[in-house]
Amino acid sequence: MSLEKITTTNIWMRLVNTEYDNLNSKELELKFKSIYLEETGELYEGDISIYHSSESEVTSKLNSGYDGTALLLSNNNEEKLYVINQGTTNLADWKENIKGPFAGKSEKQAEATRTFVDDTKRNFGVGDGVETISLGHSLGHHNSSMTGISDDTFDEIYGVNGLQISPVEAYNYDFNFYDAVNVHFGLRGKNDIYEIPTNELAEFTKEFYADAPVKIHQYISEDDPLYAVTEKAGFVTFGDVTKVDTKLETDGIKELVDDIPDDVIASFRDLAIDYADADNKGGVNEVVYQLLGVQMEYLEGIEGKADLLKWYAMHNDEVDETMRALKDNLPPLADKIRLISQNADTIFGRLYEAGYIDEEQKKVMIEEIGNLDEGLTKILGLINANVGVNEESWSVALGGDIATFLIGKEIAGSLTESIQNILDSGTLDSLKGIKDSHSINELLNAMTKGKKSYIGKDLIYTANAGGGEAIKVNMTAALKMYRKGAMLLDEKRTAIVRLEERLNEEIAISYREEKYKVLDGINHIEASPKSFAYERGWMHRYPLYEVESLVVDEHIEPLRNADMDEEVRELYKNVESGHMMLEDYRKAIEELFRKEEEVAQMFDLVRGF
Amino acid sequence: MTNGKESAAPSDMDPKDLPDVPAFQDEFTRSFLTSTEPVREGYYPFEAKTGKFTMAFPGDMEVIERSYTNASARDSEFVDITHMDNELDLVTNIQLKYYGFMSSEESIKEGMSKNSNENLDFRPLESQYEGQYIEYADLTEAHRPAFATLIWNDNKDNIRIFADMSCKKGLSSQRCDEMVKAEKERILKSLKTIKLTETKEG
Repeated sequence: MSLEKITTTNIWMRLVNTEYDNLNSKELELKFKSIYLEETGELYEGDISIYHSSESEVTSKLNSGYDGTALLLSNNNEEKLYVINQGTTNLADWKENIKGPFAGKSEKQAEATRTFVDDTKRNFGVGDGVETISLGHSLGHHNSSMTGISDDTFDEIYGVNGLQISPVEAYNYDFNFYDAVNVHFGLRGKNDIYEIPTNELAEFTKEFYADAPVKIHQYISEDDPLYAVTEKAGFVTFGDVTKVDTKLETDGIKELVDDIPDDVIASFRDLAIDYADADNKGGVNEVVYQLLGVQMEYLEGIEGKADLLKWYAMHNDEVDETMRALKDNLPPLADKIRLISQNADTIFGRLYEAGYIDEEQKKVMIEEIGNLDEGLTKILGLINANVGVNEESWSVALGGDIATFLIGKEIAGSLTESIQNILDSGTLDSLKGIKDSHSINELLNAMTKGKKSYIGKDLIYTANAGGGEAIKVNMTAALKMYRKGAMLLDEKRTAIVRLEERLNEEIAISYREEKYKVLDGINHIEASPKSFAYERGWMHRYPLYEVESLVVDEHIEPLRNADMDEEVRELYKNVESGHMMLEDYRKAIEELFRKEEEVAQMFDLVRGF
Repeated sequence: MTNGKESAAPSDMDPKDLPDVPAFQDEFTRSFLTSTEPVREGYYPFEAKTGKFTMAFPGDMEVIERSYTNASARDSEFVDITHMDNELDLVTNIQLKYYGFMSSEESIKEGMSKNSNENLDFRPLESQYEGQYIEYADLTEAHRPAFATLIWNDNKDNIRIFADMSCKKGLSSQRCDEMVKAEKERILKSLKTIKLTETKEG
C-alpha cells in the first residue's frame, strides 16, 4: 500500500467534501478509513494524525475563522502532509473587498493558509521538507493556489471547481510578480496597474507562473458558473486542467456568458463567489446573511406594524445589527441588482434560449428583478435618510419609529412579494441545476463510470439484476451499518459472557458463604450449650434443669432454581440471530454484485477498524 | 465647537484650510490623517482604520484607494502608499501589509524571501518602541531599487513592507543613485515611526 492512492480523484474529492461537515478528529479518521476502503477495496494500514485549524493557536487568532484540516499520513517509509483547505467561514469579511478585485480578502486567506501549514508542521514535529499536498474546492483551492505559485507552501495542489487567480491579486500578493509586471508593462506607480487591458495582463500572468515548481491538478466542470464568469473576467487558470462536461443536456454555461456585458459578469462573479461560499455552509438564510448581513431569524415573526414596533422595542440589539448591516451591505447589492435589471432581457433571454428556463419564467424574472431594483432603491433611500450609524459606539440612531416601520414594511412588503413571485415561478429550481454544477458531487458522478455513483457524501452501487429495474445500494451506509452492527453485537456478546461469569460466581459463592455462616452458628451452639441456654432465658424458665449438651439436627438444602443456563442461552441466541441478519443483509448485497470481488472484501475489512 | 482648527478632524475640514500637499488634497488619504499639525516637517499623523497601528505619513504621498482593504475582524489591513504623479523624477511605492497573526517571524521572513525570489538578509534596526522589533533587507535581484521591512511584536501583530523606487527615464544613473539613496533614508525614517498599538506591556 502506498500513499499515492490518496490523490486518486474519488478519494481526495470525497475527503474535501467531507471536510465541510466539520467532523472532529476521531470522526474524520473513521470517515477517511471508510472512504479509503470504499474506493480501493483495501484497508488503510498506515498512521494518521489530524490537526484542525481550530486547535492551532496562531490560526484561530484570526477572527475571520479560517477553516482547514491537516492529515499527516505515514506508511512504511513514506510520509506526506495533506491539507484540506476550506477557506474562510466569515461572510461579511469576504464582501468588504468586492469593490476591488477582492484582492485583500483572498490575500489574507492565502496568508492564513500559509500560517496554518507552518503551524501544522511545528505541531506534528515534521521538517519543512515533508511533501505537502493541498486538497480544495472553490475558494479553498484558490487560497492554496495563491500561496502555491508564489512560495513553496505546497508541492502539489489538487482542486475541484476552484476559484481561479486574478492577476491583480497576484500583483498585490507576490512582489516578484509585481516587479516583473512593472518592467514588462513599463509601470511606475502601483496605481497604474488598473490601466492594463485585462487580457494582456492575464496572458502575462500565465507566462510568468508557467515555471512555478508547484504541480497543480484541477478538475473543472464546464457547467460551473463560477468558472464561466471568472474566466471571462480575466482570471487565470494554472496547472493541468481536466474539464468535465457534467451536464450533457445543456450547452456549457460559458457560451451563455459570452453574450453578457463585462460589468454584468463582474457583478455575477461577485455574487457567485458569495453564493458559492454561503451555499456550502447551508441554506437560503445563510445566503441572505452573506449578501445582506441580515439574520433572517430576526425577521421571521414579523408580519404587521405591531410586530415591528415590538421588535424595535424589545430587541433593540437585533434592530441595531440589522440596520447597520443593511446600511453597509445594501448599496453594493443594489448596484448589482440594478446592473442585472438593466440587462435582464439579455440575461434571461439567453437562459431561455439555452433551455435553462421557460418563457413564463423569463417574463417573471425580468419583471420581478425590476421590482426588486425599485424596492432596494427605496429602502436604501429610507436608510440613508433615517439611520445614522455612530461609528464610535457602534449604535444605530433611528430617525424615529416611523423609519423603522417604513424600512420594515418595504422589506416585508414589496421585496418579499417580488421574492415570492420569483420563488413561485420555479425559476430558481430551474436554475438550481446551474448551481449544482459547482458542487463536488456532480463532477464526481460525471467522472465515475459503471456501477458507482455518489449521492450526498455516500457511495452508491447500482445493480441491474435480471434486466428489471435497477437496484441502488448505498454502500457507505451498508458498510457503516455492517461495521456498527457487528461492533454492537460483539459488545453484547462480551456483556453476556460477563453476565454468565457473574452468575456462576455470585450465586454459588454467596450460597457457600451463607451455608458457612449457618454451620458456624451450629458449631458455636454445640460447643457451649450452657451459655446458649442462658442467652435464650431457658435457665430462668426451668431453674431445676441443667443443659449438658445441645445437638442441632441440621438439614441444608442444596442450591436450587439458581440455574440461569437457559436464560443465558436465550441471550446468546439473540446475538446469533443478530449476526445472521447482518450476514444475510451482507449476502444480499454481495449477491447483487456477484462479479465484484471487492464487495465481499470490503465487508470483511470494514470490521477491522 | 470652534476653538481652534487643530481639534477638528482633517476629514471634516474645508479643503481650503488643509495643508497644500497631496496627502491632504486626496480625500481618501485624508481620511487616515488625524491632524493637520505635522509630527515633523513634511510628516503627518496617520492612523490605520483597524486602529492597529499609527505612523508619521509622508505628505507628498497618497494611499491608493482601489487596492486598499481592511477586514471588519480587524486582523488585516493593506495600505499601498505611492506618488501619484508619474512625471516625478523619482516615484516610490510602499506596499504595507498589517496582519494580526503569524506563526513566527522567521516564517514571515521566509515568506517574504520567497515572494521576492531571493534570500533576504534581514538586519535589525533600532526600534523606538519597547516590545516591538524592526528588521530591514535590501532586495538585490529586483529590477528596481527595492527593500523589505518587517515590524512585529510579541502579540503576533506584524507589518510587512516592500518599497520600490523608479527613476524617470532619461535621468542620469548617478543622479538616480543619489535620489534613491536619499529617498530610501527618508522612507525608512517614516517606517521607523510605525507603532503597533496593541504591543504587550512589559
